[in-house]
Amino acid sequence: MRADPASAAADIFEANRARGAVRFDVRLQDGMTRRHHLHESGSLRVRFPSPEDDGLSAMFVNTAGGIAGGDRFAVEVAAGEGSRVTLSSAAAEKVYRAPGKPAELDIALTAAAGAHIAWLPQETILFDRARIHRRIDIDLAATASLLLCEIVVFGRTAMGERMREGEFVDRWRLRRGGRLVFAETVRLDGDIGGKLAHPAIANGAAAIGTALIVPGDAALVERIRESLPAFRGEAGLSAWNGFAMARFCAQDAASLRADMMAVLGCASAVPLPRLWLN
Amino acid sequence: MTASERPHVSAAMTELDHPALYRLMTWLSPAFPVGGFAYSSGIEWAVEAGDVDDAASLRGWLSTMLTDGSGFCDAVFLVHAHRAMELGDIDRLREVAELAAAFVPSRERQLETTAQGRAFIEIARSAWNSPGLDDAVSQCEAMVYPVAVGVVGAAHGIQSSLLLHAYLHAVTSNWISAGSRLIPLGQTDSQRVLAALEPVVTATAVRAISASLDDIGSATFRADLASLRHETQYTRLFRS
Repeated sequence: MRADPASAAADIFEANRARGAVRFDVRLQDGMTRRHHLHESGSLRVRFPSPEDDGLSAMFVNTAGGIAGGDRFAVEVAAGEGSRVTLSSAAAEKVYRAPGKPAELDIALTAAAGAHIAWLPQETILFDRARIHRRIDIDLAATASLLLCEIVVFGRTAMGERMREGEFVDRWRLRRGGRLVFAETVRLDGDIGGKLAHPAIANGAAAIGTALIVPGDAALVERIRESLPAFRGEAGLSAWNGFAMARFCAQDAASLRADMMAVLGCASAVPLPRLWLN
Repeated sequence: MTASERPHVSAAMTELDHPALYRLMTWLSPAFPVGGFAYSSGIEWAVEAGDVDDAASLRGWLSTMLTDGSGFCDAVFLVHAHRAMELGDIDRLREVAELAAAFVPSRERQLETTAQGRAFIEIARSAWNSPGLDDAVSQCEAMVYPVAVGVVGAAHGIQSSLLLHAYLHAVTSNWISAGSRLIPLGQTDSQRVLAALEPVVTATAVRAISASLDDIGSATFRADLASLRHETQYTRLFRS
């Protein structure tokens, strides 16, 4: 036992942090995608609602009710050859104010030849003074496909709160056929309220979002542009390196969600999870 | 401030540095044919959308791009490419080059940095070749602009902080040139913006010199959006 009160407090803090991990893989069996190995621990759980088609749906549930400073969560999903899996979350992920260490959230998605992964969680809400480091690593075989969306809301906007301080580091790495095709790290820290007000950052917007579609090319982007001549917030589309991207920025989370749904609806051959249609 | 109050300037610049200065002024001059004049990094859309419409708003937009956007990220890539080249660590160089090439927010920004990087390397190999340059180039799939500058600079033994300042000056000047043609802005106002951004460039370079690849990060969501929306801009002078 250490006598130093500061380190004792740190130990207590550490012992109270939530840990959670979900790891599973899915396989194609007789034309249906089935769950294979599943590992769950801590406050992160996964539910598999009854199948609606040949693919498998998985829904993450954070029984801790949100993410606090020092928490560590990990998600690993591997989709076997030809399988199809749609991953979503039961609720918006709330990241609470964190006085000390940032929370860490690591997401790793792997898709083998011909597999399809849809990663469509509900939005992440960063409370004022939230601190989180997130990693999203995606490794796709050359013939695998992906539909991904992520929405981040700065503050509990429904309560009139805006994020003023904190730390948000979001590291994305997308590999396709072993080659790094997209990398990005979003880093917002310090005077986040002041930064978000800058025209080149968010011009005071409350929410941002990104969709990635693999494979994706100029023809897909053109098709989406033709079907969606207008958006509620700001939106931009592009395709390069074999994938397509849509980016959004809006004054309120509802507009951003509506714009995201419209693009996903255009880009996806399969129906979106029911949660998205509420 | 008089020159005599800044002794570190004269002390730092020895005769040994003169070839370095000559090369830096050449490679990072607007006359060096990498084609920078054809790109605006999305500023053309920002002007179209009304986000940038005078010297003050241009300065604000560029200050953010330097501090929290591609300016800082590319500066870190340049430093790490330079370091890997200096150490002869080709595996590390490949890793930096791969990450930098993937670290672009849109098709047009990819074209911008890839085309300039390729041109920079080609001209350097033709007119300013240096031992080790051909080998390093053959080992990397692609070298985007900041990586190309870092590699060539290291091959010529140029100190990375000087190289980085010259690079950030070139990029900032090119942004101002694009902005001033689009707004439009007079030559004196353009120079005022460049002067006002000097401390921002210095601070960005200082942060980048000591940053790890893990420290890279940007937050310029709307500047990135501008480069996406530029693709469908009706009348365009620039390729990005």
